[in-house]
Amino acid sequence: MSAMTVPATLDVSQTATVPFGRLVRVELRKLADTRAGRWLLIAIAALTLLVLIIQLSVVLGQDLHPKYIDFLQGMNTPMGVLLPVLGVMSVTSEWSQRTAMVTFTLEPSRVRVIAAKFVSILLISVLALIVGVLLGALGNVLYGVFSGNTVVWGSAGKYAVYYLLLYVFGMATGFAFGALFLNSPAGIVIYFVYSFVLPTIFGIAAALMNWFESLQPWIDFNFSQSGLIDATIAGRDWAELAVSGVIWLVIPLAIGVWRIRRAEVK
Amino acid sequence: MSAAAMPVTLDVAGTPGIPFSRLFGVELRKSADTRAGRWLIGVTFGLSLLADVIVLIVVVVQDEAMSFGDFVAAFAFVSSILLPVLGIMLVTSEWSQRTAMTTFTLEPRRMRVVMAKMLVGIALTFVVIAFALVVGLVCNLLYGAFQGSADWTFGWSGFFGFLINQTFAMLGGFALACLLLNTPATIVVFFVYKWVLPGLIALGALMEWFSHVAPWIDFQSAQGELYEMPLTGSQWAHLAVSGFLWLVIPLAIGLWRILRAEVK
Repeated sequence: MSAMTVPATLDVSQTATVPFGRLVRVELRKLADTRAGRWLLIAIAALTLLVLIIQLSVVLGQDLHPKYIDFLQGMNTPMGVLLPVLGVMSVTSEWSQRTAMVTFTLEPSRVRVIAAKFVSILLISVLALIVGVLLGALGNVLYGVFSGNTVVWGSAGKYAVYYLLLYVFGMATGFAFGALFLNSPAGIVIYFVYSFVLPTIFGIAAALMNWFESLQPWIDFNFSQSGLIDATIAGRDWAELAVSGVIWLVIPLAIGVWRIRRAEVK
Repeated sequence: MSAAAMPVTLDVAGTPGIPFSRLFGVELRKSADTRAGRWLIGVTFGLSLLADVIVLIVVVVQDEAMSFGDFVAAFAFVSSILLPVLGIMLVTSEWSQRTAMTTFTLEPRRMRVVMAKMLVGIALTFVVIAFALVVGLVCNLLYGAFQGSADWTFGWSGFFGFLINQTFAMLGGFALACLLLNTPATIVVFFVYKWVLPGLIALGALMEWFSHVAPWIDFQSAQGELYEMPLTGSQWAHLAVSGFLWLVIPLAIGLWRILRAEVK
């Protein structure tokens, strides 16, 4: 009847798979060119700059003697609060905006997509570190110029490593909570409870009970990260950081990845 | 041609408008029988109860002095963190779940719907506080049973301060929600306002000139003064000005926005 028979099978054996580099590039782009992602990045940049300006005018006006790390600490406040939200939304927006359907159709190997997302938030952490280190340096130099005092740099290289760890931990914890709940409001609220409320409760418990005070560093990830913020971490602090990190970062992430692999995409 | 002509107008002149009490009832129900709302209420009560139980165990084991007011305060502190989120979602979920279409079709007078939502937010605040009193009562009775005697001291001034603070927290979340009409954005901005901004203002207040401005723009410090009634004249003035800045202006712009927003 017909002149040509239509092939009944689609031969994709010669088609190359989506390279991982492209997945990472796509995920990076998704973080910046959606309305939520763009505004979050703008808000982080604006708040960080605002904090730096406030801090600089305070130390100059009050004739204080800040070191380089004080400027890094100041900027860690806005970044530490908002970067994890970006981590949460990098996962949950696929569900809330229903793009998961398209994403996982184009790349059905879900673990590769999750890995690409994780790499993209690591790259954003590096970017945040570069911006933070440069702005901190600018603040410190401006302080020296305006006050005429000697500028104290400390061990700048060590600080950079510590703050990179801080940003990575923050974003990765947000990412893990996002993967666990697959829902933006739930992920964000639980993350904020974990980072603002839990330390208060742990602090009260530690003040009241001696045995809890010695246990706290091992189970309170926020507490064990404080050694990174003021760069005093040493010896056993690293072990505490690792143990509490397993509890709050590795376990939620593992459960979350397992959940994404099995979740209904709707 | 046709036997009977169909009426081309629908006479609703005799149909009464939806009573406000029904709107209130519907909004109250919406806050509790959606998945997000139910979980949020469950987590709020669960965490607060857990906090009180832990406090009870700790004070009994450590043999610390504790009063009725302290138990109520512990419960209320934990619940106050999540309660405003419920107020936020009352507004934003209409947009994120696209129910605004139905809501504003059934009651086109949007302001009445928003007012019903706001009253629900305030009502939920009072329910949580009442529940805090009951839980505090039970905890204090248990404390008395274990320790032999219970302290029923309850600071009324602190209680009213707390009542007003909670209501303002709920309304602050509500106002931001009207302004942004987006759940994640509002939650993030609210937590920044509640937990980060006070630190920034305290830092800025180290500067001489800003320390004079700070009381007029720091709504949370101004509210904090309410725990120590009565207030002085300047404290009332600080409260009014900062409240206008953080509560009235966002709410006014937000309401204006809801009245004009495209429902999609």
